[in-house]
Amino acid sequence: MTDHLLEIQGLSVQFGGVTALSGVDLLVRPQSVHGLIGPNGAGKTTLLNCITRLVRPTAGSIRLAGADLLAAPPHAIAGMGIARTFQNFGLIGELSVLENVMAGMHARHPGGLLEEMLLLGRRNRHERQARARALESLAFTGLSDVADRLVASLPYGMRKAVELARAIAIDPRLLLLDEPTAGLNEAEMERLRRTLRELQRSTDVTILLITHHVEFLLGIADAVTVLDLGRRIAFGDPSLVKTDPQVVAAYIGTEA
Amino acid sequence: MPGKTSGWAFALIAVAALAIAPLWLGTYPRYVISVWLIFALSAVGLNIPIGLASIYSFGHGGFMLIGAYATGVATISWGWPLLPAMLLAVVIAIAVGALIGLPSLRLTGFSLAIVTFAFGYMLFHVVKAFDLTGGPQGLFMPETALARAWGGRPLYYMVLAIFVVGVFWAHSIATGKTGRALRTLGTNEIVAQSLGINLLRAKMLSFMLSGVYGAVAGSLLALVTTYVAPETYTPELSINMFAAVMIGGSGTLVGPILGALFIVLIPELTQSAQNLSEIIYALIFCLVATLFPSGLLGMAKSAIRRLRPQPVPAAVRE
Repeated sequence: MTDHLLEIQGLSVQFGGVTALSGVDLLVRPQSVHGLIGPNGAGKTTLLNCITRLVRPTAGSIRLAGADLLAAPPHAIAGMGIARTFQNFGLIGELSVLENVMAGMHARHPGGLLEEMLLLGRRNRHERQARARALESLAFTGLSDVADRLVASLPYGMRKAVELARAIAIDPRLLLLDEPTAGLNEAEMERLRRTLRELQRSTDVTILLITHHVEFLLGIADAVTVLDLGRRIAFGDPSLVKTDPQVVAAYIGTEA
Repeated sequence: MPGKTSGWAFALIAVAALAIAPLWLGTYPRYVISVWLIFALSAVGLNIPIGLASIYSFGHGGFMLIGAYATGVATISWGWPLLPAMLLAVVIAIAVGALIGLPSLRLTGFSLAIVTFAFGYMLFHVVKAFDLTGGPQGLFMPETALARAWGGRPLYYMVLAIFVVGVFWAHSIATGKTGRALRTLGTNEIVAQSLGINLLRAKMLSFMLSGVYGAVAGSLLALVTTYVAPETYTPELSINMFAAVMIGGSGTLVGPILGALFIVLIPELTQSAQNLSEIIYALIFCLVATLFPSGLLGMAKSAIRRLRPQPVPAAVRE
């Protein structure tokens, strides 16, 4: 079983009396792109929230390369190499694109208060390193031109790209993408696909992504797990989305 | 936004002016500037929780009280030299800041604001109740050598030096890793956690830092005004400090300094109106807060933008 980077077993989550997830298993191979799909309310985001420790599961286990994630506090997750994007943005509008990406590098960026007050040489060196890495990440996602723009002034699609740039700036082992295709037009989606492909080619990253966009999923995923009403109803090859009648009924059937 | 170089040039000119001015200025204007710098230092510290982390603190006067009384009690009652006394003030402020920060994870913004207010309120009554702190009369500070020599200018320069270091540190913190972490958690705590920011640690840190600034300011205020009275450190002071940050422009470096000028200068200027002075002061407060919600600095920035020719957006130019 250790040939999986991410191993989730028997994961259950209850909110009050509501069961959000019920005994879900999820296995993600290293350096693969794994699609997590299902209709709204299936528990996809809840599952990501369990991985990043924002939601406490009532049962089950989550392991990253063998390490027990449920034993770690929420703020330690980024340091373990897990980065994520959010469905509804988590950007700081009043800061520039570059500063947002640098803020995202908290876990990988050495330094802190002591350097900022007493060791200014080291502070400035670490700032330069962080800035250089952040600029690389922005170049990678095609955002170099807007590095100094305030995030609040950017259009929707670009803000999505900033979130991705922030997530990949820490060079994650596991990248969790929550609806990265939502609201994107065809051209932006194609750019996203190319960026993720290039990321896969140039790093060891493993990607777990939630999307409602079937064509995008088929074009990028190596495997899928299908959730419906908190249960795993299917897993395996992405083509399931078109062939498995249960999946088609649950997923495609509800898709506008 | 002004460029980096012009920002440093402006800071340098301002510090040079503040350093040269007292050579000519009389005792009273020097005193007013000293008090402004002290309140500005305090406001710059309060801007760390408010402006960066969006944590509303209404107890900042309590930290100034700690600074003033720790310095007063240690120098007068225990005969300590000034520096160790100020250090004691800082240590107590750090401990108290940590204590106030401790419940910050469990409380919402409003509840926490009430806790901070109650903290300042309690300290005000504590110092009034005990003999050690001089009760309702307070403590009279002995005149230090700093205030005696050269017409008191050494004390002025000490205030200025501490102010400059304090502002420099605040800038270094706000534009560095700590500042970005605080701004992130101030915008979205869930995202902040996912980025690896320890919420409790960061929030406690912001209170401890603001406490240090407040305590040092209080300590200096005791020296400059030569007495430590409870009436200086009423809950009203906390509200005034909060207002200084918001009126000047929270989240900026210059804003709180401008805001402090406002809360020091307006009472001085309206003094001649006697019993109307407080009313005029409060009215100006209402006006500024209503007309310039982004603060005096925000107002100045948008005025400059309006005066300058507008750059044509790239999309239109092509």
